[in-house]
Amino acid sequence: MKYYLSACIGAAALLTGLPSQAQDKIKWSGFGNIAAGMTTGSDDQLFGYDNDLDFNPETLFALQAKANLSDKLTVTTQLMSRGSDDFDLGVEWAYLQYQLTDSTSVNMGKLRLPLYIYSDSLDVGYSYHWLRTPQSVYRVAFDNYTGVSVQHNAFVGDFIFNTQVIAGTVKDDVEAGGSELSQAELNNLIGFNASAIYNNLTMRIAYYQTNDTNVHLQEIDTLLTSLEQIGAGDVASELEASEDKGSFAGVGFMYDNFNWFVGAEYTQLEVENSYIPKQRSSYITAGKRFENWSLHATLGQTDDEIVDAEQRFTVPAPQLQNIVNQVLGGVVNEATYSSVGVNFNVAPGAVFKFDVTHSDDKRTDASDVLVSAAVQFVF
Amino acid sequence: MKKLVVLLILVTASIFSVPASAQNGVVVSQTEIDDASVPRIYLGQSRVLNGVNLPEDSAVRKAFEEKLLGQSGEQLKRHWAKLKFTGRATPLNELNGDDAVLEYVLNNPQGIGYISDKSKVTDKLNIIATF
Repeated sequence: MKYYLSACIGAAALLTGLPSQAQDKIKWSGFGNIAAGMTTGSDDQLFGYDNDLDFNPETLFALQAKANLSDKLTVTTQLMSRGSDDFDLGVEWAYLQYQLTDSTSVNMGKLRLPLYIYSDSLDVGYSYHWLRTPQSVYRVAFDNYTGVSVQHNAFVGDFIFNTQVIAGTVKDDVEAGGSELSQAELNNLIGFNASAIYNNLTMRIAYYQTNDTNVHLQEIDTLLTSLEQIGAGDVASELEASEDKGSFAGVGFMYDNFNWFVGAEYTQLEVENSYIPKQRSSYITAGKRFENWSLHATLGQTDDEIVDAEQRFTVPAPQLQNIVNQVLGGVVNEATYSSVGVNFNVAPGAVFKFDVTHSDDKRTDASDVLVSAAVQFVF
Repeated sequence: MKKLVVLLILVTASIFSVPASAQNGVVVSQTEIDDASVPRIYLGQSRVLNGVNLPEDSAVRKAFEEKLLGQSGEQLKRHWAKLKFTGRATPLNELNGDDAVLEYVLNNPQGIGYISDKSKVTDKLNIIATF
């Protein structure tokens, strides 16, 4: 947290320390999301909500400052306060943007990792139709990276091609497996995404990889030691996510003729030689817009698999085998989600959303229903 | 009664005069470009020229957005929110009326704008599109 606070002060100092003619050019804007939800069953839990009405999991406020240092160079910071972090203020984005040509720009700093179609505007609920992005797909535990990104726009006939190439590192506390926060570190992360826009249709592909993925699970430290002690060091090293190769691939499309829309995304994530399963995630969504309101529905699915489980995770001690199986069982996600939502435009720049999401966990046979409502706005 | 009739005529006239004047809308620039570039500039996808907008509550802007961009104000607000908060584009500057837009495009060879009244266009400017 100290890091965030000093980064905030640094960012604020950077902006207010600019020469006065540049300060006049600072553009302030912002957005917010006031959301509340509760599950319908007394034991139900979903997306951080339980059976008590809660405003904290998804409520957030953000303020963006953008200053032009020259015609081509701008500095942007986005400060965000999230209910899920006790409304502590943090720097969500902070970057320099250099406009290389009319069609190419370079960003440097703390940026959003563009895994999914809506990664960029993930926190700006106002910019998409859902109350929240489909959690079957939007489930990688970290959102940001530090590094560079190059963006390019090209017009070919009636097509617009938007390409983005990124390189950098991820360092973040994430929720993985158990209840304790784990340190995630991804080094040498490189990749790209490309979108083709043709009239109302957007098609997108994305691919990222790293040869150095580390997601340390504190809960399994003693297990790893025990495995090594009984001579099952190979199982221990298969279980650990340490300096492992990771890859992410995604495809998706969105068709929106402003009357109605339909879209889908499919992603696949793998971290070789680790407890992290091969994750296959998908959703399909469709909706219809009316004068001042809209109606939409989304179906999602997660389908995880521990590849070669028997070969990699067989332990000669039954007790330890049980614990290993528990760890692996805890990280595999096989669930389906269905949701319906209705949105009302309440003012220019503000929308009220109501959503009911039903989830079905195939492994535990648990079924949860979450009802949520939100006001999302930009200014 | 007479007053009522006059009032009715005035109201009717004002209702019909809105679409009539809207049909006079033109997109103008000193630079000659393809009309396909207009939606690209106003949707934040292209920077070939610097576009300027009229205020959000302006009827001319509404007509321009619906006819040439094929989108409502609310849809465009969502679109620009996404661009603005992801660093993909900076919102276009807003000027307060036809005269300010004309002054801007006359002083900026790289500028482009739209106005409600075709008859105000001088021969220094190109008409890129009408709406």
